[in-house]
Amino acid sequence: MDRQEYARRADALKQRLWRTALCYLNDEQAALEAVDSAVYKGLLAVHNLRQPEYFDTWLTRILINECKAEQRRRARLHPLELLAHHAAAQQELDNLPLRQAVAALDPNLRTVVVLRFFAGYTLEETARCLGLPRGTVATRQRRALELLRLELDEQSGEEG
Amino acid sequence: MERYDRKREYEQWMQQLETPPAALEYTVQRVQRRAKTRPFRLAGRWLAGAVSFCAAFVVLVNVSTPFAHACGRLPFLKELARAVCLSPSLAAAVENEYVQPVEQTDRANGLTLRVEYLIVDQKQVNLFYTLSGEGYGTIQGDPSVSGADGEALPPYILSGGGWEEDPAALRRSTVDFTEADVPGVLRFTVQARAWRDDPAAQPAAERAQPADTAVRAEAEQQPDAQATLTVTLQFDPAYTAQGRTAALGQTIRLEDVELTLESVEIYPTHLRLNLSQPETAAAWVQSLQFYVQDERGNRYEGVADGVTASGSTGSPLMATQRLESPWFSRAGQLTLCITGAEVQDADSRVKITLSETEPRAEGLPAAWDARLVRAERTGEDGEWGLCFAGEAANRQLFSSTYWDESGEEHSIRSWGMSADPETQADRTAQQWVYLDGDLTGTVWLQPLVTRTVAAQQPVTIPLPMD
Repeated sequence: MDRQEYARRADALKQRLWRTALCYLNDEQAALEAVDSAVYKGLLAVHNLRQPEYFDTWLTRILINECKAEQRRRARLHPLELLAHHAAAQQELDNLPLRQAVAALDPNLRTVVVLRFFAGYTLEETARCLGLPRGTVATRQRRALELLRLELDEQSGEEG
Repeated sequence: MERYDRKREYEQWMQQLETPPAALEYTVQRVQRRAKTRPFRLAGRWLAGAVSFCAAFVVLVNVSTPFAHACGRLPFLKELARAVCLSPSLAAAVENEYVQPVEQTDRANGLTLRVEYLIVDQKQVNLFYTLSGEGYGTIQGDPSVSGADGEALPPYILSGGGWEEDPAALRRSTVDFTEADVPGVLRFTVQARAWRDDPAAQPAAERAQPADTAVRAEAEQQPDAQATLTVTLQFDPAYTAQGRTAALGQTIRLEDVELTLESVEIYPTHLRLNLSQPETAAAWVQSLQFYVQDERGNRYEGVADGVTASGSTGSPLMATQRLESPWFSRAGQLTLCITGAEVQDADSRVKITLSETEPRAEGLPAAWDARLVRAERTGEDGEWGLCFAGEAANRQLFSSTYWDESGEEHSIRSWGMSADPETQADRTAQQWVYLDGDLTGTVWLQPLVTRTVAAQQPVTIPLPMD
């Protein structure tokens, strides 16, 4: 894939990337920076992409890594806040608005719920983004929805 | 009883997500501009420094009361702290109020260069400055230096500059004189290029764009304004005299490698240990593993953000090795401690088969965890880019000289490294090495480091303190 084609594909995907980053980080500025950084790193590494048909999940995977890096950076800056997030139990989640409840989920669960129901990836695409078996993603999805007390069908949030 | 209607919250949130921020619209253009400036960004050690930038700032300001206190007396508190946070020597200089406010400005074409502070000693100038321009979201600055009348300066290393994520940030450029002392007067010039992030804010004439997407993308990479901005800095001799040198004259052996410790130089901004080796040496020191310790047990180790070693073009030896400075420690005794070295075997070569389909690297040092993963013609003139990946790719892999099939000597055009974007493992990286010229067949590169040698017992030498 050449850089011109990369620019076209990244441009088409940017809104989905932003939704993913925003739901993951719950911070608009940080989400924008994560998208910029992911698109930049993708541009530098696009020659490594052997299967262009997986462009979307490949770039989303880079974005998820950027979001995780931002989370690690925040953990260094605000360790107590992160500790509180890790300790978030059912009762605490119930007392949070949905955005904050998603942000307080265990990162493994949060990634799945964000990709599935906010970025609009299918179960298979989510599994490819995360490099996980489909069954693992399904289990995490179920657990995350239980914790959020959110009842969504399989097609919720999916893009056509 | 549930406090929230989750389904309703979800639907509302999804509706909000349909309206992204305006800045998202120009993501690809920003990234293309950034990629275009990449070779410059990778020219120094600043990329690695920026990664832990914020964390280091918080740690320093929070744990070091004198540091925070010193910053508190200066305007640009956060910006100055951020600019020096990765350098213990510069942080100590700030803490000890070894910072000179400058406040010199040059303006042209709507852009402004303002030098705010200097940290200068006998061998090094650190400039802290801003680049600004009303309405510009991105300003790139390529710095250069010259003598008072524009004349060339003695050998120096200039680092810093280039892209800055935050247009209001205090930027840092360092001019490090490898042999001569800092001159009395220095002209600091910045070629500034600025872009508006939001084309809607541009005048109508500038908004006109070619219809073709590819042409438009290229046009959008052109700056909206550019200017050459210069300030002339006259240094206070009291600062440029700061430094002391002590002769050592001691020869040591690290396994099969013999080297002589000639002298040590201590400046407020760094420490230099000068080495020599016999002309017939079979292995040349590239990086000495050493530190200095004071009588209270404080250690001064390798430079964290700046030049770590330097050499001359006439020898493969990196004859000057650097540490963070103990200048402000006010120690009664300093002890030099050498534990080993990374060396380059003089006859080591790596044979590269130039092929986009089946590139091969033969003779990579056994200790390296790096492999050639890709080769491609990258430039308009058919120059080759070689991509190595692995843990060893975290640092410069090859010397600047390489040889083609006929034995003719060439110079590597540039090299740069980045984290592997897909794995983001802390230790693995990709490194691109760009060759000069339209080459075919094979080339031979010289590994910068081929092995590590260790002292049987750490070599300890008390440093003369006078």
